[in-house]
Amino acid sequence: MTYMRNVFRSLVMGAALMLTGVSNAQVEKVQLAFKCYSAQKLDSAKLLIDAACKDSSTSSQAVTWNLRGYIYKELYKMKEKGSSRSPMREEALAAFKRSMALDKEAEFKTDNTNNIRSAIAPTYYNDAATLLDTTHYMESEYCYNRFREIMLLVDSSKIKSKEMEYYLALGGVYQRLYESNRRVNGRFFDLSQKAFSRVLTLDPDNVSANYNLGILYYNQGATLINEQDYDIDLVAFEQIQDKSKDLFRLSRPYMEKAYQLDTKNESTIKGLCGIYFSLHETEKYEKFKCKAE
Amino acid sequence: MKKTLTILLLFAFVSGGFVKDSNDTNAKVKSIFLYNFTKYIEWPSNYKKGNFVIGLLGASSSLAAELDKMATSKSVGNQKFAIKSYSSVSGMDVCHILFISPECTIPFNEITGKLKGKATLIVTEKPGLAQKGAAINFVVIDNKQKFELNKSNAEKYSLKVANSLTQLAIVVN
Repeated sequence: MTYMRNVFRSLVMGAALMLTGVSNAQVEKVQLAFKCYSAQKLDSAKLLIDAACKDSSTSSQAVTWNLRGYIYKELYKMKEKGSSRSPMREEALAAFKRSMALDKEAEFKTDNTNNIRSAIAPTYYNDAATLLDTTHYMESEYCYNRFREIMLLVDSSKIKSKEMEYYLALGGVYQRLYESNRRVNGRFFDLSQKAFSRVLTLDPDNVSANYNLGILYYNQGATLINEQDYDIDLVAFEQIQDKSKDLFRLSRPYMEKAYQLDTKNESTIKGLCGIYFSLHETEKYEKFKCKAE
Repeated sequence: MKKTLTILLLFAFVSGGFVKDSNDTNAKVKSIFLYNFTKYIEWPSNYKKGNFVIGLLGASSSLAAELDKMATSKSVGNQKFAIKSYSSVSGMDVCHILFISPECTIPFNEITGKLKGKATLIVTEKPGLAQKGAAINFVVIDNKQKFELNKSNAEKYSLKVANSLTQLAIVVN
């Protein structure tokens, strides 16, 4: 299959260069680069295509940059796969984009677009997913944002579902960071809230985002109470109770929505039990306590 | 690509869990109140020796656990806390504070009868009990824990209530 595709590409490339009136010597350079690429001699292919891209007669041809994209893509796979800041991947992307810009006849449009959408962009998404933990979340976000930028160039219709998946997971990571050390990691509460809210902006009926936002506020309210010393002044405690109550109230509509969307989810039922209990809403608590048991 | 997406999705759904000990904040709230009452109420001198006993009638295990936790770090003057759970009035010893939970099925009169002549702060959590003999009755107003105080009921049990507590309470007579 790969062989057939390469033969086809070879024919297209030769024809394209001849038609555009490029001299034989320059055509040879690109064709040689292609032969090296086909023979998996990627370092040689790279030298040749780099030279061709600097030569004024071939650097204006979409086919030259298209081939450069292929060569750098293979080099990335071979040498830099998994490296979130891979220069070769960026070179491949830039080459396909340049090819698109130069491609007045739209001859390589589908090929360039497919490469960007199906070969380059997913590697950024996968890197973002692999790096998404409490240590590498910043690098993960960098990769996700690159993925997003790239997809917006070629196929914005696929962004929404990926955006929701990614921000749900990112919100969870921020939540864990916050809960691992609330005093030091206070900013992660806001970041987690923003991540889940972003998902709800895209899909207000997202069960996980509703549930997680409910839990985030509920935990904050509960912790506010639980971290108090027993001899806290009662006037000061009144204010703590007010803040805590506000957080429980904030949590309630999200958890209720999550329950409406999935009435059988045990975590949601447990969450509602906790919220109603903390708000002293006894009747509702008893109702959900029975469901939880 | 698909494999990675699945990992992300699973991670997202299980990410939000309850923080440890988050399920019964009300027990913590009550413990804070009960501990604070000891700062505003004075017991007779013969009650200032030995352990400071908080008795629980029909109370939830989470309140008992929370009070046990409190007892490990707090005291009333030189008195250490002792938290005792009772299922009937017959087994009750001297209590400085007796918390009667709303789940307690023992008639209130029977409990107060048993406490006659003793310096016990009776704390309840049922509408109307501050008028029927409890010194303090927990109530919920606007989703918040508050308490009613019947000073004369406290005085019937030889307890002196600081005026500052009345400013924090819903005073009933």
